[in-house]
Amino acid sequence: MTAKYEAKWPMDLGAPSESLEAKQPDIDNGLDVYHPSRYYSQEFMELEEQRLWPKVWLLAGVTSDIPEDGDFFVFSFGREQFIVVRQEDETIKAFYNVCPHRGNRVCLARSGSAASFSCAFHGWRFGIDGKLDNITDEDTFDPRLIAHRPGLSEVRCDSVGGIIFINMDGKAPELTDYLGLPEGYIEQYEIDKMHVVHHVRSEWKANWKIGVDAFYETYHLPYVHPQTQGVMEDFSQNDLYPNGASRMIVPICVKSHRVEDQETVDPYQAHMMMEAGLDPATFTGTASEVRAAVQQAKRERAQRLGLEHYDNFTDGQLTDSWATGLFPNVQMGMHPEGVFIMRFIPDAKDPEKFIYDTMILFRPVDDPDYDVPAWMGLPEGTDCSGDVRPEPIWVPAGESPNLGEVLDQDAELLPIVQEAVRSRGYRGALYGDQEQRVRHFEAELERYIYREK
Amino acid sequence: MPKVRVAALDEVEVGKTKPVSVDGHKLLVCHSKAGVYVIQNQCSHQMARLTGGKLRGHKIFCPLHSAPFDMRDGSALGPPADSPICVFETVVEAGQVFATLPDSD
Repeated sequence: MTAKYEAKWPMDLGAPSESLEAKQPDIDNGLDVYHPSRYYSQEFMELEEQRLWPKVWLLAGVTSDIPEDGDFFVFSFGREQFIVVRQEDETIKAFYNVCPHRGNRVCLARSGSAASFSCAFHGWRFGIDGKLDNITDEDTFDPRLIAHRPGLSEVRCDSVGGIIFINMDGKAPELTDYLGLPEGYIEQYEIDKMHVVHHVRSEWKANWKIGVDAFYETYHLPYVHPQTQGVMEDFSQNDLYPNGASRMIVPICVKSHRVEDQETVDPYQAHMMMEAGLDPATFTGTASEVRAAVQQAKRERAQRLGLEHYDNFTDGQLTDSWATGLFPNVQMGMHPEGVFIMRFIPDAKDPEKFIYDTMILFRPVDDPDYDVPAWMGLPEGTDCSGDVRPEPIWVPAGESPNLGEVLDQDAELLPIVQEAVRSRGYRGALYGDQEQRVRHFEAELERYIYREK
Repeated sequence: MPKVRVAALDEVEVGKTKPVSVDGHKLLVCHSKAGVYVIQNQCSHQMARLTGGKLRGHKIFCPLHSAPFDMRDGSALGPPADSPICVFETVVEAGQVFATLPDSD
């Protein structure tokens, strides 16, 4: 058993072309050097508000958070809020969280279950379908003013594979076309059967794109996260899809090709073997054989536990991270056990701040040794039963988000990058091939800003 | 702290609430899939009755502004409520719901 690929650039794990794992043909996104003001100017932020955010599909949440009719959550994005609510016919609708009467927030809760929504200002009431139920003292209004029976303002809403999206201007392409990923790519993970077990919203002093850019490449791993060298390859397979979407497959349970000793099993690798039910003490293979051994162990465990959805996955998917980028502000680390959804949500006013919104979803399995991979940074003692939907933990700027060692290192770094890109001495990013996903994302953003989309 | 009968369990379907008045206390019997709870029938946010509030597990959501409360300890679980409601120790015996209420004097 060896790692069935050669760690060389360009990285190609060698899957056949019909496989969802297959290396995608490159897309030429040119060599433009974008002016760094995109990371700090109010003008660029306003262009994004006018030309980007209303036109795209935004990841609002997950279907397992609202399983029954009347269940809702409020999705906040910049200056806007949306009520996303399950209907009696099991479809999902979304509305701007604003009363058509005098503009108050209709829903003051973050999530819950409701038969109707009553505005706390003058008591106007709306059904979960957004339709007007009742106007307080309606006979005191001129009937011509309210003849259209003002309800909540609906926003386009759709879902794929358990993930809910909204589109503000209603004109985006159909969701699956927009996302640009092959058919079945998201659905194979059955995210609708997973539950949020950890949710952190941390405020970072950086532009939202500084966040996206950093998380879209593994080129920085040896320098920012040197501890990952013993258990992750930093040459990722980069795949570009239409409409700004992309993926990097990060081989895990392997040592980086930069590490000379490919024989001795690293302690992190040993930990991952234990997670998969293997005993490192009795393992006779080399470090480069751990990935295949873990894959086999997970395959056998899945069969023993009757986890049929594992049949969807390649061997690589059982160990590697399929970090999947959805344009513009989402990356999902996708694994059979669970999915790590990160959203880079711009601050409402300050271009130099974003909210790093992370949700860890887990599919409960009745087995004491089956858990979310430890590197996803779940705190000790997290309830993974799926019975408890934890409240989001808010972490203000400057405080450690406690997202695990790797992400905390990013949280420390990015505000420094933000400061530096403002320097008079900085001319703009020079992307290498290992950063092709970043360029793919930034090039798509340009198309929106310059109205090509 | 007398233990008093507040309702027959079969008067309150699973997923429903039933308002009752006992010794001057305005109570709400809540029968969720997670259990039976007797709570004060008044939201701490804007003093609305909680009757008809949706039940999910051990949570109740005020029907007026969706303020969430934990029916086990009365704590407010998020906005718009920031203070707890009263809840009462509840047992079901022989199909009858009993709650331990404070003395009315």
